[in-house]
Amino acid sequence: MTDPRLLTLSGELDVATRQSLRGAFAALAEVDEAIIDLRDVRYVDSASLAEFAWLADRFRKREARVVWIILPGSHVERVLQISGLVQTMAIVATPEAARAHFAA
Amino acid sequence: MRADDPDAYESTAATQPAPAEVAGEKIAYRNPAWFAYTGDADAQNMTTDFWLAYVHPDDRRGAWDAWQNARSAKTIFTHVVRLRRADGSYRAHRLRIAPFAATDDAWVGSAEDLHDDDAAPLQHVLLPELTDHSTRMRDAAADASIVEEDLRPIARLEETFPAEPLSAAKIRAALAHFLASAPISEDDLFHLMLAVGEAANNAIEHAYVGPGNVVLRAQVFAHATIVEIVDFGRWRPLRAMDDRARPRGRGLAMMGAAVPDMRIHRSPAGTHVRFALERPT
Repeated sequence: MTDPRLLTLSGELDVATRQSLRGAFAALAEVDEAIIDLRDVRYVDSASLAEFAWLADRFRKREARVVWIILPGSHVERVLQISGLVQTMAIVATPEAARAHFAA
Repeated sequence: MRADDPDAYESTAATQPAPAEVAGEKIAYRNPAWFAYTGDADAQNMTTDFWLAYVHPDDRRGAWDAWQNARSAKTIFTHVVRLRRADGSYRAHRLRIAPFAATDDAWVGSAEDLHDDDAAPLQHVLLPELTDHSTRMRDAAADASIVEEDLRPIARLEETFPAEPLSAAKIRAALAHFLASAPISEDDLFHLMLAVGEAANNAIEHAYVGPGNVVLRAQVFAHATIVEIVDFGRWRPLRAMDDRARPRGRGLAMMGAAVPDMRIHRSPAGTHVRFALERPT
C-alpha cells in the first residue's frame, strides 16, 4: 500500500497561476489517494475554485479519495463557504488528520 | 399561460424546458448547491422567474406579488418561502434577489435554509447581454453626480494596470494597501477584496482580445467605501456552459454574495463595476 500523493500549494491562486494549477491537478487525475495541502495559500479566486471542483468531481467519479488540508477561518476556508463548495470536499485541518482519513 | 399567473410556472417548468423569456445572450449561473438541493437537471435554461417552480404552491402568490414589486422598482427582494427539495419535501428558505444594475433586468439571488445554518446557500446569477447603452450611460453619470454632490472622499486611489494575468495580484495588493488605514472592518475588507478580485479577473480575462487597460478606483467617504473596476473593452462571449468553462458565472455569484451593493454598467465603450460598502454612523 503506497502513501497518498501529497500536493502542497502556496501563495495566491489566481488568473496568473491557473495554468500551472490545472497542470498540477491533471497530474493527479489517475491517483487513487491524494492529500492537497492549502495551508499556505493566501488567496484563491473563483476560477481556481472551479479547478478544485473539477478535481473533487474527478476523484468522486473514479471512487478515488482526495482530502484537502485547510486552516479553519483562513481566507481559503471562508471563500469555500461563500461558494458552497465546502459541502462537496473532504476537509481536514492538519496533515495528521489527513493521514488518519486514509488509515481509517 | 398568462404571464401574471404564478401557478402557471409549475406546469411550464415540468413540461417545457424552453424559457418563457430570453433576452438575447445572457450569463445564467446556478451554484452546485442549487442543483443538489432541487435535483434540477436542466443546466442550460433559466428565466428571470425560474425559481418560482420550486416554491410551495401556497407561498407562490405572495412571493410572486412581492417579486413583481421588487422587480419593477429595482429593489432588493427578500421573502421567506418553502422550497421544494429533490425528494419532494419542502424546507423554509429566505430568498434574497438583488438587482445588478439600476437599468437592467439583471439579478443575483440566494436562498438560505432557515433551519440549517450549515446548509450551503443556493445561489443564482442572471445577467442579460445588453444592447441599449445610452440610457445606462446616462444613469451611470447621474449616479456618479449624486455621489459627488453629497459626499467628498476622505481618501482616493486611482491606478491603471495593463490587462494581463500578473495585474490581478497587483490590483489586489494596491487596494489592500490603500484600505489598510481605512475605517473598515476585517470582515468587510475580506468581502470587498474578494469581490474586487473577481471583477479584476473579469476585466483582465474577458474585456480584451489584444492589449488593454484596467482602472482601479477606490474612494473612502465618511460613511461608505466605494471601489470601482473599469475596463474599456467588451466582454467576450461565453463558451460552452460546462462547469470548467464558466468561472465567470461563479465569479459573478461570488461578487454578489460578498458585496450585495454591486452595480455593473456595460456599453460598447467598456464595463464599469462598482461596489459600495456603507458604514453605520
